Amino acid sequence: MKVVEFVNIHRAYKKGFDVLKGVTFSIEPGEVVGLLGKNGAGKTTLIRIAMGMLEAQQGEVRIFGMDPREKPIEVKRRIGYVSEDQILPPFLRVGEVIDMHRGLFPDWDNDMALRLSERFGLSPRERIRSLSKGQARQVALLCAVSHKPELLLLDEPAGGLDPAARREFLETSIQLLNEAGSTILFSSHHLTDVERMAGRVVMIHEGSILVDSDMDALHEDYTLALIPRVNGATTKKIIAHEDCLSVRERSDAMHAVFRLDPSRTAAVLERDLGVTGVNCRNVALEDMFIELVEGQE
Amino acid sequence: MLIVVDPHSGVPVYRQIMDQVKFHVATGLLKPGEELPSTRALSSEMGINPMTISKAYSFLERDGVVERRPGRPLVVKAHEGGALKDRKIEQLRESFAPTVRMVKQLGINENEAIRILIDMLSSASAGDTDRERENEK
Amino acid sequence: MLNLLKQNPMIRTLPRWLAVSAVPVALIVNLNMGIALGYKQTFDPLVMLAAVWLSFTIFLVFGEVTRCTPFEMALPIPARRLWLAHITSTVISALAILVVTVGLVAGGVWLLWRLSGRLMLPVDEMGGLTAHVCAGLFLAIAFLQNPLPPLHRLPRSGVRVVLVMAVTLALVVLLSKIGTWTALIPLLLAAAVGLRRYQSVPRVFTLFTADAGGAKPASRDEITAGWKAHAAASTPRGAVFARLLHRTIFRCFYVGGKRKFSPWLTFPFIVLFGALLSVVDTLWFEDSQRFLYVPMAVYVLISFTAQPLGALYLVDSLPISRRRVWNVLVIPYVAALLAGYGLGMAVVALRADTAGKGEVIHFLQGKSDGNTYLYVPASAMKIAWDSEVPKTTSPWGETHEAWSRPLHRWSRVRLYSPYHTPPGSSLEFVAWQISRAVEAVYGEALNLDEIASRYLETRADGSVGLRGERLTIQKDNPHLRRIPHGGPVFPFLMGSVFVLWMLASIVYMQTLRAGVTKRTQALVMWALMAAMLLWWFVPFVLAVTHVADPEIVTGFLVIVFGRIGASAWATLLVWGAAIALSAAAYAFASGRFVRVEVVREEV
Repeated sequence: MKVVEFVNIHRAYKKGFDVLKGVTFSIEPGEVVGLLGKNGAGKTTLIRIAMGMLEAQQGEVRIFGMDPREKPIEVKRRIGYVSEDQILPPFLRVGEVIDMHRGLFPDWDNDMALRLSERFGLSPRERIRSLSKGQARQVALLCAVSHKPELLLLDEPAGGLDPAARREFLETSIQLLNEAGSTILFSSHHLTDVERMAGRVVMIHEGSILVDSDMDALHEDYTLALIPRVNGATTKKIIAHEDCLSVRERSDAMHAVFRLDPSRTAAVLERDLGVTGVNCRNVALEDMFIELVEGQE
Repeated sequence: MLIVVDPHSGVPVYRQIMDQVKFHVATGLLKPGEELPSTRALSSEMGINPMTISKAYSFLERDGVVERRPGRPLVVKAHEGGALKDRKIEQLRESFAPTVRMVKQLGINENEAIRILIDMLSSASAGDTDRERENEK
Repeated sequence: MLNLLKQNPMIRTLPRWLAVSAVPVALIVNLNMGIALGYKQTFDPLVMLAAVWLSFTIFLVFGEVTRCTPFEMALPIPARRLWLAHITSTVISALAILVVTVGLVAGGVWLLWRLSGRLMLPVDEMGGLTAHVCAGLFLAIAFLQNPLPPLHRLPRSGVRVVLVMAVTLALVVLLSKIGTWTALIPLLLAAAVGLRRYQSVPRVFTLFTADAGGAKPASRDEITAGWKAHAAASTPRGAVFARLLHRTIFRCFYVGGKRKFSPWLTFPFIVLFGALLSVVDTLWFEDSQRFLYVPMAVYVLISFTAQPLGALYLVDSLPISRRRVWNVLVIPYVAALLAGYGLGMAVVALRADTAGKGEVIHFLQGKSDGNTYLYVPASAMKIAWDSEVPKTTSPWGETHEAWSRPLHRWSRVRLYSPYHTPPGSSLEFVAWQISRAVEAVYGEALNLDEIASRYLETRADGSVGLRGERLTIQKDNPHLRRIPHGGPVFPFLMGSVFVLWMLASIVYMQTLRAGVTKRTQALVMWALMAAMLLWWFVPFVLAVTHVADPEIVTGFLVIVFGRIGASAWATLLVWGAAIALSAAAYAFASGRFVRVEVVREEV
């Protein structure tokens, strides 16, 4: 049974202003999926729809086979959710937050929670509002993972955290992966973290899916070609090629993304466009993201 | 474990792990019979998705670099015959590949390139002998 | 400067506080005036003063009183300018509260004057009083500005605020007794103190002082020890956990969200209105006017519960059913309302035996002509359903017209007094009517001859007059108690309040969706509250325009409910309807809350 299923999700906030336009993808158990997109592309909306906090105006969403708005408690019991906006009650103490979660989640592992709290250097008597942003986020994370959720939903969890805190966050999530085989769907702007953690990448741009691919395939099967401005190399001709995903004009060259490995891309460019001396290389996720997103516009 | 991964490089992480393990085996840092850390341990330590680690491990197994024993962690496979030499050559060829491309792009004469290589190799050895003499002193 | 003022949180939250504190307080003052009118007593204008003070104190204690935000501190604006902006905002807030309160009170005075011809507050006195109030407020504000420590937030000590306000109130009361010109004294004092403070404002405000700020961070060992202790404590289970959870949910919405409505503020108000919905106002009025208080109770409930619903984001990611959350939000206030009702009834019961029960049967000169008539409370009258009012005939055949009024201008239903004594009534007739009235109101008959000889005399011109100043039936017979009318008024009132509250909440919840702007949400809430407020004024408008007399209408309702109370199955019907409708409204609202969308809160 798929853990997460989005089928043709549409959502608009104002008339004529669609945030999500027919998003469809699903996640199998144990997958780690990174959700990428520019600000406002619809990542948070999608995750909130998965949590049942928002309603999809069209389409269906199923979490563990259930509709999160019809069976919110059954679904939420099996999900850990961390979001960028602080959603822990600020007046509670850390110890009280943990006690509250302890009572609400039947599979709560208190030893794990206490271990993590100590590791993060949190004191049980401190109030959430007197913690720094990173510490508060850590509390949210440890509450989300300590009940061994089957699904971890992270919405920009490391936003605003220092690199050390971010790394701790990452390691805690991976620990959960190892111990409980959880499925993870997370959105992040820190693409290095995505590269470390995600096995699959879904890129959303202006409400639709741009790329849905296995992470390694993204590196191996896609190429970034830096094409010098010479005769025969025009944007039109390049983008016309069936394997070309995007072209961007830069001051000194053109950047093109091809759905081929580097050597094949070089061959294609030489053969079809008569362009030699093209620097073709595997792309890092960040470059891929920028090229694709900027290249769409 | 002496593996450093650069997630940003564009080379898939599993491949980086594979290449580095192969390199360590070839240089002798990883000896035959030595155990590799478990997927879990390595993923926790490096902060990498464990599936990536297992992918690297299965590819290493496929390539005959490591072998699986029932109920025990993966171990470095014993070198058969000239397998070690082959490995080393394979590593060298891989490191030469970008240089070859460079030579072609710069349009430098092949023989000249070879001369430069030999030159660099000898000065490197000389440097080694110098350092040895320094240490003896 | 204008920008600073616009951004100041006091100004921004002012409308909300006006609605929550100034308006209800002012309306309660109006109520007081009505009571005083009914009690035929004078009304102390100082009550108005106290009202302004109370509203402003509530605002200062519970509202946002930051001097400036850290954002503003980063701008190249001198601290003195920020301080001025802050003081100006405080002054504007105070004046706004003053204007709203005085306006509403003045409106009430005017209405009552139109209704009864009596001016509850002399206009000239009010002018002087307002001057004193202004001066006093300025003084209080000046005292409350404490630049040391130079924090960007005024230390919000409720005790300190209350103390300063109480002292200045006492001062103003004292000075107002002396004369209007004395208002200058606090004004000058305020200016002096203000100037002094202004001069001592530092160049820059700080966020924390050196010794203030957080406690020093715990060491590793302390943390470990702390967690050991925490682990040793048992898991809160069962009822204890439920309490923790429910308390947390409640606080998330009412205290922890962006809008803070401290339970210290909200519960007293709700208990107060619960009490008003009981017959507690029979302590002052002849007939309980409690039917009129329904819109205010709903107003108060809406103003406290609508906006906090937006704090759902604090609990929504947890596996708690939304229905349970809704219960936690609603039930405490329902309990408070019921508790208030019980309190009101207890107060009435306790005071049932004390002296000072007012006379309700009067033999007075009429307003329009000089004749003396027998007045009974509206609830002792009778209903004529088809506008045919029977004449009253005494046993010896003396017949006279009964006084009557229509329920409303175009109504066929009339309320009539069968105890009316129009001019031309004989002494015996009057005595007979008085004894009948006493029997109707108190359930006991008094001796006719005694009544005649004790209270009545024949005047020179032949008309019947009072012996003595007033008819003192109650005073002379302290054992007499009014017959309660009974009837299922409780379910009717509580049911109405509850159903209206739920309906309003449902309307408001329609705006809790992504894509609806905060502005629209606020507009809907204000519209709901305005609707209730307008409804509160309807009876007075009806009275002033002579469309209907509120006393007649409430008397009518009291009689009708009394009749319903007499019939067992009618009572059951009312109870059943109230419970059913309330349950339905509750289920509806709860179901609506389940489908509300969680909107990202402003950070």
